[in-house]
Amino acid sequence: MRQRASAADPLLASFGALLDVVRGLRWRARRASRIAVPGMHPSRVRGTSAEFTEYRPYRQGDEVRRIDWRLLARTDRAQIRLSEERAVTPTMIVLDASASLAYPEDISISKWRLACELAIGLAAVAHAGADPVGVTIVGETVRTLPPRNRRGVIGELIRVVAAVRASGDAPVAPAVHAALRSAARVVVITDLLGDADDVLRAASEGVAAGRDVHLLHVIAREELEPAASVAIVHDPEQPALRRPLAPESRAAYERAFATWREDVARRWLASGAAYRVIVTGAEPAAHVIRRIARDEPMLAPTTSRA
Amino acid sequence: MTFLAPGFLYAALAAALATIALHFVATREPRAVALPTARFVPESTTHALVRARRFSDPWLLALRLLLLLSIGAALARPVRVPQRERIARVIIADRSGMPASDTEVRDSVRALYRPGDAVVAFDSAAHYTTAVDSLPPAVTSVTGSLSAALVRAHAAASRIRAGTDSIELVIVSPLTAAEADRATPRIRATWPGRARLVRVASNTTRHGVAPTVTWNAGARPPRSVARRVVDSVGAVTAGTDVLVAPFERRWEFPRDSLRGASVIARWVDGEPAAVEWPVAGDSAGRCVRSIAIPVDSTGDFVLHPAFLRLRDRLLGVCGAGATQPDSAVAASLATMVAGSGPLARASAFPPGPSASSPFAPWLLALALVAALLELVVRRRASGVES
Repeated sequence: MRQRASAADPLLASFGALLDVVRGLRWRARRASRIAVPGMHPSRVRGTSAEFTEYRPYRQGDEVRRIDWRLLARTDRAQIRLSEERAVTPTMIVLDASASLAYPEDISISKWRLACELAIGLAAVAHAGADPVGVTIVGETVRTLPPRNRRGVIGELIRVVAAVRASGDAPVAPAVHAALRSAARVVVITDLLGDADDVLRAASEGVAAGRDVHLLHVIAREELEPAASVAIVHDPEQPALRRPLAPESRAAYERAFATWREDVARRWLASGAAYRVIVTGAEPAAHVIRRIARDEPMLAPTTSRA
Repeated sequence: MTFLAPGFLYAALAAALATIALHFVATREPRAVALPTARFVPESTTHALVRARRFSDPWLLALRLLLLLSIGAALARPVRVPQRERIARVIIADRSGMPASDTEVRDSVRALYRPGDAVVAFDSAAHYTTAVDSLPPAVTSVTGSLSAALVRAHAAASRIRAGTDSIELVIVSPLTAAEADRATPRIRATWPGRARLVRVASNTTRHGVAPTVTWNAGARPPRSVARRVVDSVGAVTAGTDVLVAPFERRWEFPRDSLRGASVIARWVDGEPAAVEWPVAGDSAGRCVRSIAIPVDSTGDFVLHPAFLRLRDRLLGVCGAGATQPDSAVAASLATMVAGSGPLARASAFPPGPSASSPFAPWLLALALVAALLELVVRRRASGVES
């Protein structure tokens, strides 16, 4: 445990500054919530709050007390007074902690660090809007904190995330399925180098069920621009996959990787989910969180040779 | 110590340098690094290799250098350098019928000869020898060829060049004009130095005596018989003179008629066209000449320069068709053969083909041992790597 804590120290130190930067941000849900608990997001429930919206004729089954008696007295028609409700959006963050996220090995610039900062920052923003937030971390073991909106839940999330080291190759799709059952907004932070098709299928089902699904596709700059020296590269999740990366094969690699990224983006956007590509080192995590909260487009991933 | 063929040693040194460079350019498999997107790298069956700038396999390199340098040194034929003070001689001894006395030639050669010298005995051909006592007997029936002797002298100089500073060409001969031909001046010019002439008396019995010539276009020449089939021939040669013209060949010299005779002209197919034989019992050296070359006296054929040269040779004095010796011609010949300037430097001659090195076999044996050791070390190294 002591070793884990010391390894997570850089993460812990960075989260404090991140929480300060994102304080005050509000993250509106992209879809109206079906939950009746009052909150800040639009709700599909038409209630009786003070914010009047419209009248509609009384139907059998409506509560009698919701009839506007004054209008009935003037017009002799029974009308129900409707108002726009605001509700909370339980938010679940699914964080991919597979071995491919621990790249590059320098943790200060790794995909895992960026993913952790995005998870904590978005959780803090959602929690600031009174939304219950939870997290599922899919590493060698699956660790889940259900959505809560009590005080101190962000600190609890930080401790859980900081204690995890990215390793293993567990599938993310089951965690996405579980998150969609317990939350109206699901944020999946992954590099899509595992069960990408299953994750997309689960997300599509969630979107069809009215969930607000976000996918944050994390890419390392070193994956876009591998080192120029000749090397035997291997997949940390598939040690048997070893291939020589030489200058003559680099162009083919970049073409194949770009084609795959374009295909992934096209399929995710077609699913109705919010898809964003986030490259390490391209923007600070706080800027990325601000763009997500404001539903602004991300910076397009570019390479220095582009 | 010097090398007879240093080019091989230079080539071995170049190969050794290349070997050293190759040992510095070792290859290894590049380092393995993690790349989560490795699946997008195209599959390749070739192995990626990178150069490692480090010195590898010092023992293997040492053995390979030893192997290369041993072979190169063996092929370069190292020899010990003796004291470079001697002047070696190439003595050309005339063994043809031109000298008056065979003893005089032998005595002259014996007086000139020193150990390490070379002797070239020549008649119509030239022979090389290193022993003065092994001179071949004189062939009195032929005229000597100075050109052949000079060519052989070059080869002899190449054989004795090791350990000498200069090579002196000594010619023991009467130097008659008959012994020179048109190529002689050019061949002599290739000898890079002056020559010493030791003139011996010429065989006057064979020179200066006019022959009795029978050259009748219609009658049968003496000692000849009529051909069974008269044919035609395109040319006739006498010495260095050639006359190209259509001749009707009516006569031929039987083999028996040539006994004791000398052929002084031949048809182009080698058949004798004119012969001479000495008059028996005549101490003056007179001879009889029979010419079976029909000449059409009509027309301007007999005015042609080639015919005039052939005529002079056929009508010349006795002595295998030699032209009449002329003191002026002999003097100019002697001047030409003697040349001028210093003696020829030994380094001007290429090493002889049979020059041997006493070290070469040992160096080749050393190369063989190095090759075997290299094989053992290489196999051991590959066994360790595997």
